[in-house]
Amino acid sequence: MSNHNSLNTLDNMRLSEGNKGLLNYFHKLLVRDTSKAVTLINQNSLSFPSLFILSPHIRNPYFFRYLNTRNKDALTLIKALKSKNFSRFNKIKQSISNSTSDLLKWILETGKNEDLSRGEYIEILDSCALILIREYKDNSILPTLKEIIYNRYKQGMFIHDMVWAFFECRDPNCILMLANNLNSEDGKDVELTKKLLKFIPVVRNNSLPSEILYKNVSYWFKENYPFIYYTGECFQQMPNPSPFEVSLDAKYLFKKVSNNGSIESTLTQNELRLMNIFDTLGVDSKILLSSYSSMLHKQNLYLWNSWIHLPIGEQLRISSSKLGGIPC
Amino acid sequence: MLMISGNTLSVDTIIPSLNNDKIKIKTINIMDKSTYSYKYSSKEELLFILGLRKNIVNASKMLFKSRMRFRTFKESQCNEYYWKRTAEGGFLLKSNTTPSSAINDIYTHGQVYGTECATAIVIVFYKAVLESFGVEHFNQLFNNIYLMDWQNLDGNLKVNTYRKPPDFFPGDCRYFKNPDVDPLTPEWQGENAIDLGNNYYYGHGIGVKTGNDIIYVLNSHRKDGSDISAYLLESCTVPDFKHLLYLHDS
Repeated sequence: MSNHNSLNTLDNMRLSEGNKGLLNYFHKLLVRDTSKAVTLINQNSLSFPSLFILSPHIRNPYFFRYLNTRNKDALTLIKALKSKNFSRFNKIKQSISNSTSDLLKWILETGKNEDLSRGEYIEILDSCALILIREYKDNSILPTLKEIIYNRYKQGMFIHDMVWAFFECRDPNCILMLANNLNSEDGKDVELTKKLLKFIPVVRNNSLPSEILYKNVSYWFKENYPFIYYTGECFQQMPNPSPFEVSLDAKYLFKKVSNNGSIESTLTQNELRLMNIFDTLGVDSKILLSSYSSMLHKQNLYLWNSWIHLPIGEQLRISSSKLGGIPC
Repeated sequence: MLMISGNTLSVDTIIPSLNNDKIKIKTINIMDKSTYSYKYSSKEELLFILGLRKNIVNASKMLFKSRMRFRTFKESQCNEYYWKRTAEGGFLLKSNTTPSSAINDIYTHGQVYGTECATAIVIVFYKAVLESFGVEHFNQLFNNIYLMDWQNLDGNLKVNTYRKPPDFFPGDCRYFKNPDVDPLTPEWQGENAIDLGNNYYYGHGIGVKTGNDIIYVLNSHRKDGSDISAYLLESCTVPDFKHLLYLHDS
């Protein structure tokens, strides 16, 4: 429950009297005491939802000139977002004096808790998120996006584009950010986390208690971090998308994976030869070999060097005897 | 190659039972010429799959003709007599109607409906199953329909995604990806499209077009100046045919 006393007067009005109450109050204030209306709307503490709701009243040229630069720029940006054209957005944003990314962040951070289910409001927040993540590569907004996703989910609202924006950060660390919600006491948080992280093998069969699941995800992440890459798969595309995957090739040779899933460094002739053989194996054998290779590399580099030069059949036999899998 | 109960099947023995249906013949010829072995437990199983694929293609063409509109989830619309529009933009089957009449209403009053491409594919799959199962059986089995996306299918309509299948067939749902989409039009980030055969696809909002035409449309929704083209992924999503056959025969 927020403390209404510490809020801006207009935000307070919106939260206590609803959107219509705010509109009525502001409309009367405009007629009765315009300078007070200007003062209230220009306060630094004003949140984006109130500005958004009042925007039809304050867009007229007479009132617009009295708005502070933050409000003028925010309204200009909203217009630019509605243009549905990123080039036009870029042209329009040149006319504003505030930093575009700061304004987009202000919209998201002060607008994140608002449950306006109007399509236009959701669309503005989704667009701000996509621009910040995809175009400005600003991942500092991820915690806010995560909050919006979970809040919307609890209210049965649309989350696809926000989830897409979240994963578009392309940073595997965002997996752990989501996994933290497996520890939540709210069942809906846990439910959504399982849906979003279903691409992780240990989550797929998720009958385990959440706290054990969290530990398993953390272990999986630690083991695979250098080999995880972003695939771009999204919920619009298929029932069980894998936005991130583990490169088994990279894990087998213990090489860092690049953004597109290929091995980052140049391979030696011997590594290329191994890779060619590895590619012909079935997925179970690949998992077995890559898991053992990664484990051995961390435990004993000397032994790993000997093992990786053995024929693949021998590598499989040793991996299978140590890890318990069946070579296929 | 085609195998039934462990024996190689000559297509010539099965073609007479396909009533000169072009989609079925095309599908079975792809199976026959493939280096992959398509194995079925019986001729009936094979015929069921061929029939369902044909129904998917027909349901796609009919949905295109229904004039259902393209709308994002945020502004989706439906016939409220049959469906309840949810806060996230999906359509939930009302309890005062039957699943078959609600699905059929989309085809007869398409102009009242508006949604995204993934929902359109789900509608196509339900309609195809309805045609394969018949009204009574369909109503018994699929009474929990929520039209939204891939994540909200009725428990009985399972689908499978194959990331690199050996062949593609009419009735497959393919995905055209638009990696450099304009961030202000996320609805054009990709297009789910049903393979109609002969390099034609049905994608809701784009229509019945060739693969290149769909790529052209998606490219027109990229960021200005982008030289990264949309492309067709190697994956496909299809109904779980074996599960549906099991339901059909039960």
